[in-house]
Amino acid sequence: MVDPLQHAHSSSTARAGGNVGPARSRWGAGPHTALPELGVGIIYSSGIESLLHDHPGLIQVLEVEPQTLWLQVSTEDGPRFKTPDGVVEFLAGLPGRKLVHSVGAPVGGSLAPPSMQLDMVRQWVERLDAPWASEHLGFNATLEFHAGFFLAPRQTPDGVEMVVDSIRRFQQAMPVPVAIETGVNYLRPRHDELLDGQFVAEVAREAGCGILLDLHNVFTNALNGRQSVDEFLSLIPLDRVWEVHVAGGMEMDGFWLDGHCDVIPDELLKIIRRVVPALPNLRAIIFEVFPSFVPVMGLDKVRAQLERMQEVWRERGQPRGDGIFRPVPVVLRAETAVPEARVLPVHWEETFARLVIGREPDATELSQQLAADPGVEVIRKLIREFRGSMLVNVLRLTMRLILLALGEEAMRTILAAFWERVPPQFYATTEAEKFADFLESIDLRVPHLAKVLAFERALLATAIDDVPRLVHFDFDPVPLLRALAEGRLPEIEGKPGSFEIEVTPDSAAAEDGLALNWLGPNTQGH
Amino acid sequence: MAATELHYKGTVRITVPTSVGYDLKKFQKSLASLAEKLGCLRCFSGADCFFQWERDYVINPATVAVQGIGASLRGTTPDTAPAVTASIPVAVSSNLGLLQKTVANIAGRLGCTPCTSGFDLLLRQEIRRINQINVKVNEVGAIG
Repeated sequence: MVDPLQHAHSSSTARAGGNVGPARSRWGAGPHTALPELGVGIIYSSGIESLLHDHPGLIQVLEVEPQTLWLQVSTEDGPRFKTPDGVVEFLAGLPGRKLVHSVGAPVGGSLAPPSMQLDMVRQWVERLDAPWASEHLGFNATLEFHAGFFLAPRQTPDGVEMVVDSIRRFQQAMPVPVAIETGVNYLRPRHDELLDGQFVAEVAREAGCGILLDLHNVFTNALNGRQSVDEFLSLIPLDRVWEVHVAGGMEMDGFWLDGHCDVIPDELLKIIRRVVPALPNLRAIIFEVFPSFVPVMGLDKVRAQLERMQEVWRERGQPRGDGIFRPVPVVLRAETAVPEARVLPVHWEETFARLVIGREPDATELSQQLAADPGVEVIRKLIREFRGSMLVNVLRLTMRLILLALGEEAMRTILAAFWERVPPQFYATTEAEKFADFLESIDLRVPHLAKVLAFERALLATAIDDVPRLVHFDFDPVPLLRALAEGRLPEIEGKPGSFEIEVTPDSAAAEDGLALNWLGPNTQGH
Repeated sequence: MAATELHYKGTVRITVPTSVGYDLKKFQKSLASLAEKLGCLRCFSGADCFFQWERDYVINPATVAVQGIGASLRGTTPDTAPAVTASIPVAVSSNLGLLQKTVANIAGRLGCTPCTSGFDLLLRQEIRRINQINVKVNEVGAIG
């Protein structure tokens, strides 16, 4: 079955390959020295606004991930995405230039970037006046399901051809140049694939696109036993690097994770200081921090990372003698597998994705090889943590009631059963809806669970479609909901009676037609 | 159920806008205020008395205080329309603030996962938080 979130249009389910001409000539060749120098920035997440307002000059550019701010809505024609009223104008009104970093239409797989998403991303690029757009050199779905994670592409000549086609599709949909982000790969290196840097270099040159060099990703790959940072950088065309991502990570199960969860490690900072002067067309350095880690890190630490990157930014284009990175000769290897045993990109993607969402390996050699790779287990674990986190974020009271009534072990058992039955969903809203369906199907017999779930389903549905909903209770729900909101079970039962909770929408535009006037005209066209 | 109807003479309605429903702290405060206002529900005779004249409740979103207003404002009388509404209005003092909350609700909650190949700690945080709260509750209970 086709994942409706990834493949909302039938045309968007097209496999990449063969049908797309060269990228637009105006963006298709060479480094883009005409791109504006933006400076240092951060990925936008709610909660960092005070850094923008209280520290002028600290942040010159905000990088926006549009899909994180869309809502998925059901229509007669199937699922669609919408941008809530006022959101783009809100972002446009924040200080600094904006970049658009797409996180839902990756270009590293055999599925072409979904046309509906491309259209929405294009609108955001135009409305935020972003000088370029970027996407990930990975894949996140098969025809059957969403993987819930960016997965490493098949790094072979076949893979290069396929990826180049996807990048061209992405490029053709954008009004600005496109850069591809170098990804994380937790798998062990394989002998039947191109070296990481070799793959990126061939893709970028063939597609005529820019490179978003994620130095924490390169650093992570090196720490986990893939190509060294210097070897990777020696292989890629440094003059195509317009943008650098930096971040901090964490250790888990013997792997270094690209967690966007901490300060930039000292060792990586040294690399950044060495590499940035060697990037002649660098236009922006972006610090990445995952939203749920912002309060854990604290804004002071986030600010300190940005201040360090300001120092690095000032050193761009000023080689510091022996400190600058200089490419070293690297011995390249071609695909070595014999043709009949060659793993095609589609087979790679389906096999890899099936394993990381928890399905059993099949009898193919590739499946057996990947199942034995410890990186697969790490990705599987990460996907599950993301899925569980989505649920506690959207169905907070429901999850609390289960946890309080049944305990952690039982809750994890329920989650495991859900994950086994239902593949990951692209959006937190659909993940929550699927879990709610699952809970209703298993009849847990936790007192009041059905009512709490009904309330939260109504909250979720109204947040998406702005239609008020009523949830009926045959007891006073206030003691129960209050206790759950405080993280405990109620000490008293709600008195029996007829009660209703009415959930109402509260978008700014809905409540007050003048609400958005200060933001300028709403030109949203979806 | 009969006794309930005798007590409340109809349905109690609580109106919750999504911005409050998804703001756990505000939701918690609203419910605490509501519980105070509806406190006489615990009292058999008080319920009738209380709801006789005050049927609509408005919660100020800035202070989260509950204000009771007369049923006549809804164009009804206690005898003809026994429903009681505790309303949390959608209007907030600053539209910019509301928009920021709307963005906050979507980003990292309802939208898709931001770019990362790492780990989200919310599930573990929630489990730890609930366990800690309930250890304290149990300790207090044991002492008491």
